[in-house]
Amino acid sequence: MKEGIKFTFIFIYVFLLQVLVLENVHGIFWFHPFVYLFFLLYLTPDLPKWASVLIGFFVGFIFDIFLNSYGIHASACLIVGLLKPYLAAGNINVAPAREEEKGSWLNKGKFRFKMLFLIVFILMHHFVVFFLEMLGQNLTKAFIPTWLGSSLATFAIILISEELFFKTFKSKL
Amino acid sequence: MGSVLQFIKTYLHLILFIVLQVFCLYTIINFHAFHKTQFFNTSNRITGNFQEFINGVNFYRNLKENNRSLVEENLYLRQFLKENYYIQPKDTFFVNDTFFRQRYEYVSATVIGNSVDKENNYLTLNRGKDAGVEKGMGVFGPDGIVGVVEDVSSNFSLVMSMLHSKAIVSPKVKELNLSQGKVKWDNRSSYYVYLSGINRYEKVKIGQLVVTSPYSKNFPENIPIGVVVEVKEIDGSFLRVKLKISTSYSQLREVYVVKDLFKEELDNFNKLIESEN
Repeated sequence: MKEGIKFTFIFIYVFLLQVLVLENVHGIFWFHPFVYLFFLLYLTPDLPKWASVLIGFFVGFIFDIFLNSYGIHASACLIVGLLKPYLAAGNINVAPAREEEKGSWLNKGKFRFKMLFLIVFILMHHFVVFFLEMLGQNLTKAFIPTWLGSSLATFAIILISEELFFKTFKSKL
Repeated sequence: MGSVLQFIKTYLHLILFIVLQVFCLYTIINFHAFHKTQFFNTSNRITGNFQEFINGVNFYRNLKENNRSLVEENLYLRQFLKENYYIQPKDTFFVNDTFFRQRYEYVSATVIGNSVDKENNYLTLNRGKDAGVEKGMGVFGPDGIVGVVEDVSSNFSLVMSMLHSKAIVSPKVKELNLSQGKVKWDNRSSYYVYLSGINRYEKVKIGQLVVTSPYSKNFPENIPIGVVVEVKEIDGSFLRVKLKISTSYSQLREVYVVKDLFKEELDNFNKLIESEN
């Protein structure tokens, strides 16, 4: 139950941050961070695989509607939803994470694994999104700089968000 | 049954992933104009090349028949060579180069894709914009009319066949010199089309040849459409004439695309008439 409330708050947070703040900042800077990945990646990995795929699809689809990108984010989030259980299960023992009421499951593993996990999924997700958006056009001048810059920005915002949710409000959630 | 359910249970996430990913790609292609164009350009190029390859193989099967029809056409064209005519000597004569002005030009093309069994049939030709083919140009083969160019890419063009629910041609009954009514396909047999809108007092008979009329927008006059095989009276005042199509669509190979050099001029007049109405 507590997990449910926690992730509802996280979803509202990423939704408001993405739609109200980052979408307006996107016009000013050349990169385009997608912070909703915070919700998908930190979501408990002991869900059934089909549920992970479905949640990935619906999260992507909701943001597609608000970002006017019909299908692009849903497609990228589906890939994240499909692969996340495999990568999570292979590297971390999930059971102790569930026993812990506070904090993120990612913090239970080694620091190196956590960083690698975040970087791999953020790069993969952003690659799919920008590839589908640009269809491989302007590879060196637009695609690669936007992909890497946006991934970096997303990575930084996710780490800040983690501080906010899993440490600052640790006692409240 | 049990093993099927077990399979679905085991791979439910993969099945879900594939189904939803297909849905996403469908949405991307349909809601993004850029993606839609890229998708159709790529698929047209792939299918065009594939059809060209398949047709290259099929070409040898119909080689004998194609040669026969080309020989017949050559024979017909040879009649017009100046060597066939006797020049009458005259003491005085005028030379007026501007008297005969060329109105039509032709682009030869090969059919690389063809359908005859659908409600709306199309042909794909191996000539496109680069060869001067444009939308709206008429297409005919050695035996008669084929259709009208509907869309063109750089190297290919899509032709709306006579066997299409929207295809309409202005006809002329050659023996009667009667340009009346319109020819349309009834979406059934690929061998027959129907001529309607002819006054019942006209003496249309079985065996008469129907050709394109001088009022046709896309074709020169006198290109065969078909031969009358049945005449019926409808509504007491009009005739419904069944025509056996001259062109054998299933064996069609070499065609000619008609370029009307006066089209732009005529279209300007038509626009003037339309704006008045």
